[in-house]
Parts: sequence; structure tokens; C-alpha cells
Amino acid sequence: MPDSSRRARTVRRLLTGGLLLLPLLFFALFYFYPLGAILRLGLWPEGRLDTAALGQMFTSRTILGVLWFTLWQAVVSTLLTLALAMPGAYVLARYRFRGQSLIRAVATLPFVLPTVVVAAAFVALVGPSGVVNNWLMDALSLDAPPIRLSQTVWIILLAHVFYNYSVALRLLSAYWQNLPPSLTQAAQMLGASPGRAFVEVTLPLLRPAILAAAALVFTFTFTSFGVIVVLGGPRFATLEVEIYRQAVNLFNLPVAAALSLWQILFTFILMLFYTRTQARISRPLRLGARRAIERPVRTGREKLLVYGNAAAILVLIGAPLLALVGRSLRGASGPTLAYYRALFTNRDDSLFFVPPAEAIGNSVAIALAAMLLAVTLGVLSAQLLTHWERPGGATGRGALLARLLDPLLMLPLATSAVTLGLGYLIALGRPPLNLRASILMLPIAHAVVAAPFVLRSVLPGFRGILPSLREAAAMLGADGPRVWREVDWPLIRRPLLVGALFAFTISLGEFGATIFLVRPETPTLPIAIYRFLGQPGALNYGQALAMSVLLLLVCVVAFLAIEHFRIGGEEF
Amino acid sequence: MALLEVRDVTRSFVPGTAAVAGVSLDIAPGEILCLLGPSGCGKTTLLRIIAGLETADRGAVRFDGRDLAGVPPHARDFGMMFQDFALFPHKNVFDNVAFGLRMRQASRAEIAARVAEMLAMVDLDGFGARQIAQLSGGEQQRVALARALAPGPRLLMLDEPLGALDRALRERLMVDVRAILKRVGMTAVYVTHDQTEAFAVADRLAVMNAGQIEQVGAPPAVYERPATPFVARFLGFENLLPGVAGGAGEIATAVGRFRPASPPSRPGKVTLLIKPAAAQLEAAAGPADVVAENTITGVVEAAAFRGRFCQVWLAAGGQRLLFEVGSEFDYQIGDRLRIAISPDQLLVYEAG
Repeated sequence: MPDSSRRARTVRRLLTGGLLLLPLLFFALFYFYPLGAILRLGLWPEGRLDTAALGQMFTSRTILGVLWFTLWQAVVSTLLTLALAMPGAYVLARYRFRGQSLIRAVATLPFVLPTVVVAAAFVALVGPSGVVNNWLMDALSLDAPPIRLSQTVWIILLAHVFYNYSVALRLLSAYWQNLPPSLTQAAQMLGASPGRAFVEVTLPLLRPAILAAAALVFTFTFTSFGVIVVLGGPRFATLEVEIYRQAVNLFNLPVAAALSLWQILFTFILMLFYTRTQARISRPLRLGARRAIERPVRTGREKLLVYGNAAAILVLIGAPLLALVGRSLRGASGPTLAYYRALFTNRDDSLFFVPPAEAIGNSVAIALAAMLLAVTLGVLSAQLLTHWERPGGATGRGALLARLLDPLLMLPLATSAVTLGLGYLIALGRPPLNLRASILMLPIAHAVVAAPFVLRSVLPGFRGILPSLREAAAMLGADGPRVWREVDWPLIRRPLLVGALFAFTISLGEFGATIFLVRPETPTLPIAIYRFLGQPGALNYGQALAMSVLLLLVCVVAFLAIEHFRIGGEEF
Repeated sequence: MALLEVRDVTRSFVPGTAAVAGVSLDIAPGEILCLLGPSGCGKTTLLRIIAGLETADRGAVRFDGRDLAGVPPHARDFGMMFQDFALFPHKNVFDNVAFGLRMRQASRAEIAARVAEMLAMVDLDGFGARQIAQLSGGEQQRVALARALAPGPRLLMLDEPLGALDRALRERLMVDVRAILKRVGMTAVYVTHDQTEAFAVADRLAVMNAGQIEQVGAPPAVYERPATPFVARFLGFENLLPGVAGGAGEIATAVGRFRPASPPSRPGKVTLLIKPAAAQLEAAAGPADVVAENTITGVVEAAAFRGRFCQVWLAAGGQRLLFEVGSEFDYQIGDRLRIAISPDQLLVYEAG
């Protein structure tokens, strides 16, 4: 082989190798480095080990109170969510009825909704001038809103249930579907009443799924931020909110960092628990064909059960969203588009006023950039993973690397957005890597948050490109680029689109990290909604709702597209 | 006196098509009845109606003279073996077999003794502590049988109990299952789509098609004289020809004229079943001018050696007929043969 061609090959190998290592570099710089900065600030504030800030967790009454609230609201939210999701999951897993796919879709919708939109929806439903209170005041001629849920723990719990219902429902019903109905029937044939059969057979078998759902919902509610900040007001603080207050309001970075470390520890333990239960979920239960297991609704009791649950799902998920849309279209004197029109007019009665239209522009630009980044990262990571996983393609060391890399790339999923925001604030706001003023700060942060979703979406596609497929194409006469176009691309096209949509919507709605990093003069849409909700006046309120509706619409469209294009993708 | 009486049971899932259409059956104490039929014929639905897992739209199921309408499955004292065995994966072998006894509030000592007895009966002594996932398919099948029999059900239902197993295992277990059921004197309804299995297990067969029973009888009788073209085809007979019966009991078909041992009662359109056993076989010199009754002349299209016999496909009169001949068969594809068939190998089905 001539020397020059060998050199060219070496160069090409190095280039592709370098390209593939790019995601690792990116995660090192924009995930581990900021987290490391939190660790340093929390443990070595003055250049030496100092655990005083860490200890504050258990000495400060305020912080103990915060921890207690964080804990119990998470427990209650989890229990409520599971209690509601169990019957719904049973109905979706066992029955076949008209409108089922609609119910399924509606029940999944909250998963992709930004926290701020959910919060705004609950404000529009049960807030002081929300739909329910307006009706009641009209109907009973009251002067003051009779339902005062706003800034109470009830509205927080309600929003948490709304948010997590879909997660629990999906996990439970997917698992329940795989339980052969013959098991409970066998129990009945052996003399167990339906109730006894449920306790003896169904419940123990569902346990892994119940545990996994509980772990996931608990993690989400334990790290709840946007819902608490918008709906709870100043009286309520979870650990996340406290981190934010310490860092941004009190500028007490060491305490914020210490709290973050605890938070990281907690979420890490929770995620560990979740992944372990997840692994148990995939215990081999024979998969039954769905059509064979689902049965039509026949008796009156079945009808009550199925349609009762369908109605509950529609009301639970639909009511706040409809209230949001309805309330945004209704002024003091009837239907109006005034709030939407006001989004595009300039008012400069406030110092920091930024026209909402500009926030929309910011959000879209940031989301596009974040999407591009996240997709690039996701694709390169997937490429890297499949390359290392492949037997023969790499040595045993490669398979080991892949096994390590996969969970590593999923870590951002287990990191709270607030922690990430704090890390960026500490680490990337000063040399050697000062991005404080860079317009890339937010897209990068959002890309880190979204990359795991992209990876989960595209990985099955990449794994589907079996070497034998490419070899077959080559044997049939396709050259390199042709193989890519005919085999690789069609297989990854749809997963790629799904990943991109995920990244776009996640960035569009991202709140926890953004609120740390956003500059006052260039807010994103969620930040603008949050600010407008916090201001008095019907117009501000209406505009917040109008912006939420726009965000909601984009998310719904993206969600529909995702559902349409996903091909039995992995669950999160 | 019948122990189980099924009377005019009808069940339809989709309006207009009945999964089970007016079925009536009697099962005597200690009898094993096989419901045999292709998938979708309604045999499993009928079984589940008897079990109480489905309800009939119309008709009655009576056990020991008592109407079972409204009696939930767990109160019927029946046992059932499922196609997927439905062993509880979170319980070990002992707890699976003990389940039905526990539901009947048996004492610990009773349970231990009965489970041991059942496991011994299915040759699984010492397997009590094993997890279900550790068992082979055949072992799972035997645990399922032990579990179903342990509480001493008054009737056992088996829904394709060997369907999940491979062929060799199935062949062995079908004999075992019958032996065990007979040993405990169990009355059983056994659902299968496999005729070999049905023949091996059943005292009586009920062949089902499209929700109805086409024929009931002991296996040899059913095999000897399939009552309908459907039953004949389902039992593996391929040579069914349309024909016209004349006044003297002879039948004209596209491959020749035949005179069966029991001729049709009246002239008209019929379907003729030619069983595959050839009485006599010889090379035919050329196109036969005079074709004798009960003989077929055709060209060998394909032949397959099957061990003790050979299968020969013969093209005749635009039809493709299958015959079983001695394994010494040494003709080539394309050879012309003349096959004679004895009259008792011919069955006639009158139209309507």
C-alpha cells in the first residue's frame, strides 16, 4: 500500500475519531465542569475543605422546614398521582373502546408541556380570576372569589398530579398490558374472588411498575421548581426553590452550592432506585399481543369503569388547558383578542419591559440553536455508542465503554435544571470560560438538558442499522454514500425528527436553568410568562395567559408530530 | 346421566356473527371430551363460557343438574389449564400448586400433603422450592396440571394445554395427560386444534366449525366416517371432489365414475371423499379408453417418502389427488398410474 494513502487513512480515522469524541468533550465542559464548580464551592469555599455550608442543611430551621415541605409534598403528590393513575392504567391496558387513542394521547400530553404553561393553566382554572371562580361569582353573585386555592399547597398538589399523571399512567398501563389476563383468570378458576385475585396476583406482579412510577413521580415532585414558584408564591419553597433564592435573591452562592450538593445526592439516589426498578420491569413476562388482551366494553359495570376513567382523564387534563385557552380569549366585557394583540404592541411603562413578541423571537431562536446542538450531540453519541457496542466492530473494551457511556450521557436527565443553572452561573460566568454575555449560554444549557431525550429517540434507529443490512446493500452493488442514503438514512430519519422535536419543545419550555442564566433584556417566553403573571393588572394577566396558549399550541403540535413519527421508541 | 349439560349456547362478539351458535353438548362423569377445530371456530369461547369467564348471550350451562348462570368462576369449583399455563411468576412451584387449596381455607398440613401428592403424581417431587422461570416448558406444563388438579375440581377444562410446547414434547405429554386424568377419574373438557392430540386424549370428540358442532363421536368412529366435508378436510383428508349421483347409486366426477359401499339415498349433486389408501396400483400404458369404476388414472406429479409409506400426488382430470402407497413405490415423476380404490374407502356427502 502506498505511503500517501496510508497517511490519508490515518488522518481520516483521527478525524472521525475526534468528531465522535466531540460529545464527550461537550459534556465534560458543559455538564461536569459546572457540576464540579458547585462541588468545589460547596465543599472548598475558601480553598480548603469546609463542610459548614453542608451542615446548614440540618441546623438552619428555615432549611429544615424547606426539606420537610419538599419531602411531604412529594410523598403526597406521588400517592395521589398513583391512586388516580391505577384505575386509568387498568382501563387503558385491558379494554378496547372508541376514543381510546384520543384518551391515550390526551393523557400523555402533559409530559411535553412546559411547567410555566401548566402553572398558568391552573391559575386560569382555579386562580382568583380564573374560570371556576368567575363562574361561581356570576352564578352566586358573590363579590369575592369563593375558591382560594392560589398560593396554597392544594393548587401545587393539583398541578403535580396533572403533570405526573401521564408518566404514571404510561408506565403502569404499559406494564399492565404485558401481564397476561390468564394469570388473574387462573387465580379465579382456583377459587379466588376478583378482589382476592387482584391482591394475590395482580398487585405483586405490578409492584415493579408501581415502584418505578412512584420513584419517577417522587423525583419529579421532589425537584419541582416552576410549579412552586408560579403557583405557591413566596410562602412555599422546595429545595430547588431555596437554591434559587439563595443564589439569586440572597446571592449566597456557597449555601446554594451546598444545597445543590444535597439535591444532587438525593436525585442520584432516587435515579439509582428508579433505574434498578426499571431493570426489574424488563423481567421476562411473556408479551401478549395487545389485540388479544384488550377486550371490548360490555357490561354496565365495565362501561361505568371505562367511561368514568376516560371522563376523569379528559377533565383532569382537559379542564386546565381549556380554561387557559378560554380565559386568554375573555376580557372584562366578553370575548376578546386584546391580550393577543397586546403581545405585539410596545408598552414602555416599566424599566425592564420587553415586548412579548421579542420574547417569542428569543425563544424560537434559542430553541432552534439548542435543537441543532442537541441533535448533533445525540447523533454523534448514538454513533459512538453503536460503534462501541457492536461485537467485532470493537474489542471487549469498546463494549465496556459503551456500557459506561450510555448511563453517563443520561446523567443530565437526573440533574435538576436549577442545579445545572447554578453550576453555569458559578462556573461559566468567569474565566477561563466566561460565557456570561454569550448568546450561546442558553442554547448550550438547553442542549445539555435535551440531549438525553434525543439520544433515547435516535438510539433505537442507530441500533436498527445492522451491519448485515449495510453489507447486503454493498453486496447488491451500492457504494458508500449510496448505502448511507438507502439504508442508514431511512432508518434514522424518523427517530431523528422525533429527537429534534423533543429538543425544540424542551428548549422552548425550559424554565429552571433559564431563570438563572437569562439576561433581563432578552427573556425567553417562559420567563416572560412568569414575569407577567407576577405583575398586577388584568392586561398583564391576560398577556401571560395568551403567551402560555401560544407555547401550548407549539407544544401540542410538536407532541402530535412526535406521537406520529415515533416507532415504538423507548420510554423514559 | 350427563354431569355437564350445555344447552343451545350462543355467544356473539360482533353483531351478526356468532362465535358460538346454538351449541348443545353432554358430558358424562369421568369422560374426557375434546373440542377440536381450527382457530376461530369458537371452541375456546365455549370453554370459557363453561368456565364462567365469558357469559353466553343465550342458552344454559348446567352442572349436576344445577344452572350455572350467575355463578362466578371462582365459585364453580372447576379447574382450568391455560394455553400459556398462567403460572404465577412471583410464586414458586409449591405456592402455585397450593394456591387453590389456600383459597379453600385448607390447613397448612393438608396443603403440604396435597401439594406433595400432586407433585409426585406429575413426577416433580422435590420441585416445590423452584421458581417458575427456572422450569422447562414441559415442567411448567406439569406444574400447571398439578395446580389445576390440586383442589380436586369437579370438572377440569384444558385450553390448548400443549400448544406452547414443541412437537416431540407434545407427543409424549398428551399420553401422560390422559393417563393422569384417567387415574384421578377427572371429567374434562379439552380444547385443541391438533387432531393427533385430540385422538390421543379424548374419549369423545366434538369437531367444531364456525361456532357449531359438526360431529360428535369416539375418535375411531369420527376418523372412519367424517360426517361432513369440513370434518374430512380438517382431519387431513384432501381428496374431496364434486360429483353427480345417478339413479343407480353411481357417482360421476371429473376423474372417473365411482360406486361407494354406501350409496347416496337420492340422485343429485354430491361431494365425494376418496380416502388416500390405494387398494391396487399399476402402471397405465396409455390414455385409458374404458375406465373402470372405482379406478383413477393419472400422472405422478410428486412423491414423498414418509417412512412406512409413500405419499403420491396424482394429477387426474384437472384435479390433484393424494394417495398413500407402500414405501416400495418406485415410479418416476411423469409416469402414468392406475389406482384402484375399494368401495369402503369412498364416502359421499349429499348437498344441503
